[in-house]
Amino acid sequence: MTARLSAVISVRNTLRTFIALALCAIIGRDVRAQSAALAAFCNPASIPAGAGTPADFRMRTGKLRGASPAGGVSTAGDVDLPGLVAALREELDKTRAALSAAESQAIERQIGRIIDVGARRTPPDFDTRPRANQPNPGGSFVLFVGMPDSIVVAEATPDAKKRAVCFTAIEARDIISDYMLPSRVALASALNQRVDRWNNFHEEGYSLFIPELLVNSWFNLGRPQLEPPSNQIIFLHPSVGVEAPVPFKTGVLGSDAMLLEGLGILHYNDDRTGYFGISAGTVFGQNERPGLAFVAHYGEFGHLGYVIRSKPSPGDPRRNTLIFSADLLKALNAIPGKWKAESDSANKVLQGCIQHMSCNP
Amino acid sequence: MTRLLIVVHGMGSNPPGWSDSIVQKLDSVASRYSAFSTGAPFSKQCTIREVRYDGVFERHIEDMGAKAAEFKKFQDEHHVPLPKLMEWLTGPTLPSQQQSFFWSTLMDAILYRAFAVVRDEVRAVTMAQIVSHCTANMRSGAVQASILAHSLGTAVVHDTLQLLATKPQLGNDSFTAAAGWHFESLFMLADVCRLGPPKLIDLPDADAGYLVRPRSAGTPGDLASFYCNSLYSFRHEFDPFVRWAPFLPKNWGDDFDNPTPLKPVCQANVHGFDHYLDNPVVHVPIINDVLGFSAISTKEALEAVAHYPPSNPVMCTDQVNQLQSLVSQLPDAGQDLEQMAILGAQFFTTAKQLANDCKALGGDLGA
Repeated sequence: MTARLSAVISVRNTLRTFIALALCAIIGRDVRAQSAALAAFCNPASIPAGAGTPADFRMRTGKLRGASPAGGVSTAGDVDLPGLVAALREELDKTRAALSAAESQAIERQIGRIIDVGARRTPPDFDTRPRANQPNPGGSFVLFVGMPDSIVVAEATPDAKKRAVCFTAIEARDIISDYMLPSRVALASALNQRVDRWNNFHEEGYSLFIPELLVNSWFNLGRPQLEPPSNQIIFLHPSVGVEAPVPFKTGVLGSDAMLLEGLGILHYNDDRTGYFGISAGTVFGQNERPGLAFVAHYGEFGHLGYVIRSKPSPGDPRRNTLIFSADLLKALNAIPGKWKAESDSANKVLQGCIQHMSCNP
Repeated sequence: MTRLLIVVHGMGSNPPGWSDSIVQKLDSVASRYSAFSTGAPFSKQCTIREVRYDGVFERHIEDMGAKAAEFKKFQDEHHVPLPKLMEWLTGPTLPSQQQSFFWSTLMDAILYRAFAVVRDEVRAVTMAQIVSHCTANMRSGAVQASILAHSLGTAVVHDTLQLLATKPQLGNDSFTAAAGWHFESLFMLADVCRLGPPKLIDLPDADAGYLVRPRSAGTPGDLASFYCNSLYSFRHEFDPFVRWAPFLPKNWGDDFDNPTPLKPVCQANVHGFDHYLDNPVVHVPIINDVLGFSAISTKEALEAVAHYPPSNPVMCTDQVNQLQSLVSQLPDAGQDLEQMAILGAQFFTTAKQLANDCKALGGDLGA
């Protein structure tokens, strides 16, 4: 029984090993496995602090990076790129003896290209890429991967060469990053402003229903990529408003009605905080036949439409009407209220003046 | 140098702070290995930031729901007849039940693929957040930024990065591949970047000039020819969305990792972010690549893969079989949004039911 059990376990273990090897190929990690010892030279986060490290170089060249006394890098575009490249060369000189002549030249060539960044050309590639285990069981890092003059750093590589290759690569990447920082920060700010325009478009703009989303997606109307619409098509857009007969007699009195705008167009300002436009549609009122409406839109004031209804007979007393958006009606009704409140307040002050023979509003 | 991991969500509800559970999951899976069982958790060894674009969908869907309710109320109060053309306004097609799978989950994918106005806003929001996270960490030197995206997020990331890589944005080219910017690794979980009608996929990876590809797919030494050092695309054998449109680019070389589809089913919702992350085939490369060295050794990784999934007293084999059978029989809906929505809803509903059935038996196939 025990022998049978151990045979089963043995078969199971063999199978597991087989599966593990097959899965090894599946996960693919084996080819990029890097030991912690190697990472201590080539992975910036793993490099212990000390003199001659990339962090130390960074601190020593702070002035050339426009760093403030509090640290960090200038975003004002005053990074001294030629100065930093010269400093990098000086730094490399300290460890250059660990490199072969060909390796030294290869690195030198790429350092010379760092200055290209200032002319907006593609910078040199200083990434150290992890590569296959064999013949290096602890993994390896390759600088200038895929190129004829690539340099391999493995666990068995002398520390001086590891330093010369990996530290120089990390310092070069830092220089390029610092030089690009101001324009990258500027881009982040510009992209966030574009998001603000989208937020304005939703919060201050005219809402979009599904059919309108489709139509405005089909017809671009000059909208730049990733920008909110600057021209918006109104298409089958329903809204609830108040319909009032014209001319007004005693203020704006009306009844609820529904406006269905068939087609229209709106134009937005640059930051999408306001718009104006026109549309045509149909009004469905209470106890009324549908009417034809011509509507004007003006941003925060909402919309105002003139409604024409056919009369059943020439003598029919029914009149044409206006339709207001709820927002506009609120604004209109607020005007007399505001005027009355201000007038009441002025009267009160006047009465006080008369009573006390002095004015202290 | 900062090691930055930007996480991007998929379909469904993702409120601000949605990534907390993902960070917990990453810490939890990392703690299975010796380097993390006693030392600092994974999330303390790198910087993790989230991207959230769900607000764009939320705003549209909530707006539609609110408008539908407003018109329903108006009609009920005033009995104003509406033309037949507008019946969709108050009918069941609008999100009266926003909790349904369709409105809370699948509508996101439809809005993204079919509506250019929505798609552009999603991309604008995602781009701004990715660039802001990267630049915010550049003050102390170069950043090695990786992105971990799931489901619809994979399509959003592919598309957004393609725009960022290839042309100046708002007149600024500092994040283009030609200016030397590139990401360290892109981890695509349940990669659906090819899902949807081909004519609605406006930035196909097969096009000339497509740059969201790994280093080995580009020209050696030319930073302008690729946009990430490594790209991983993970799919599950029984994830219907990935089955319908697997992402299988050709000749991308060694830096493209596209493992054979995952098979273990530990959650009924096999499409879930957590479910993918739980599998060592997925989380080992994420953890090691983000940290920049083999924090999880090859030996440990192989053992973890060989012993996955862990045995459970109640395996719910019947439920898992039912799910596998359902997914295997689903017709291919990868190019038809309507069909995709119907079958997707069927999948999610069945998965939830099977998870409940398993729970009743004392097992655990997720929520």
